[in-house]
Amino acid sequence: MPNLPTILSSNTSLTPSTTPRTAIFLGGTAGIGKLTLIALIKLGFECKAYVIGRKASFPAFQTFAEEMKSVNAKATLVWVEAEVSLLAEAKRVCGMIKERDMKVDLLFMSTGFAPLGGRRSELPFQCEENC
Amino acid sequence: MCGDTTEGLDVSHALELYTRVTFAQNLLPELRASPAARVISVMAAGMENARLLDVNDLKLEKPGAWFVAGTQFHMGMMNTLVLEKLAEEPENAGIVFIHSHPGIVRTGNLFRGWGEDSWGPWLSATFFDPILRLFAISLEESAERYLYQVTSGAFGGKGLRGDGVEGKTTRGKESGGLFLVSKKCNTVANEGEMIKLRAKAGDVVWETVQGIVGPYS
Repeated sequence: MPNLPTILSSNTSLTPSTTPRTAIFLGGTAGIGKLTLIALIKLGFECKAYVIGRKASFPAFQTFAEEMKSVNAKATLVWVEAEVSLLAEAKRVCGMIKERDMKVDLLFMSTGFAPLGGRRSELPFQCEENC
Repeated sequence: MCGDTTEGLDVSHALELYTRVTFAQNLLPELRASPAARVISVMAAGMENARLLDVNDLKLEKPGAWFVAGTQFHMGMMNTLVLEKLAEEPENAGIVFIHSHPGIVRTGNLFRGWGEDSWGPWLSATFFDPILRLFAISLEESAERYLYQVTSGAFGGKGLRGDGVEGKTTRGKESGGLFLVSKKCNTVANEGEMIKLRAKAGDVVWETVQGIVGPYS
C-alpha cells in the first residue's frame, strides 16, 4: 500500500507526459471531482478539462474558472451544460466532445449524492424542471 | 406527482451508474486513441458482497428494497461488474479502469441529500457531521490521493512509475482488468466475493445495464 509520503512524492514528480492532457469531469462542479480537477490544474501543465454540470452550477463554475486562470494560465476549462441524470443528455454531450477531440486521456466520474431524505424523483433544488 | 427521471430511472441510480456507463461506452474510441487513457469511477470499490445483491431487483423496486445503504451497495457492485467487463475486453487493454472508494471525505454531501424543508441538515450539523469529522480524510489529502490514481503507474498503463507500488486487478494481474482502489490507494482483489458475485450476477447485471444504456451508446 502506498503511504501518504509515497503518494505526495509521486505527485510532485509528475511531468506533462505522465499527466492527462484532455480530461472529462462528470461531477466536477463539487466534491471529489472538483478537488481532483484543482489538483490537476495546480500542476501547472497544459491541459483541457471538460466540466459537465447542471445550469444551477454554472455561476459557481464561472467564479471557479476565473480563479483557476491565475493558478494555471495553460489550463483550459470547458463548461458543458447538461442534465446528466438523463442518458440522452449523456449521449449528446459525448457526441459534442467526439466532434472536437480525437483523444480522451481521462474520464473521471464522481456524480451522485447520498439520498439521505429517501427516494426522490428529482435532484435537489431542481424540482420545477422534472415535474 | 414526479416520476423518476423522464427516462424512468431513479436519479441516484442514473448518476451513480447508468450515466457513467453511457459516458464510458460512448467515449471508448477516443479513450483507445489516447496513449495513456484512464476511466475512474468514484463509488464503492472493495465493498462487494454477493449476498447483498438482489439479482431479481436490480432497480430496487421491491417494497423496502430502496434505502440509502442498500442503493449504494447495489450501485457499487454494479459499477464493479460492468467496469470489469469493459476493462477485460481485449480492445480496451490500453485503457486503465479504476473503481475507487473515497472513504469519508467531508465534501458537503451530508447536507445536500435531504429533501426540502427537512430537519436533515440540522441533524447533520448537530450529530452526524461531528462524528464523521473523527474519521474523515481531509480534502487536501483526498485531492492528492485522487491525483495519484489519475497518474500513477501502480494501476498499470503508462502512468508514472518508480515508487515500487504495483497494484493488481480483480484477477490478480498488473494490467488488462479492473483495479478496485480503496481509500488508502491500495488495490483490493476482494477475490472470494468477486468469484461469488460474477457467478451470481455477472451476466444479469451486464444484460440489465446494457438494456438500459444500449439505446444511448
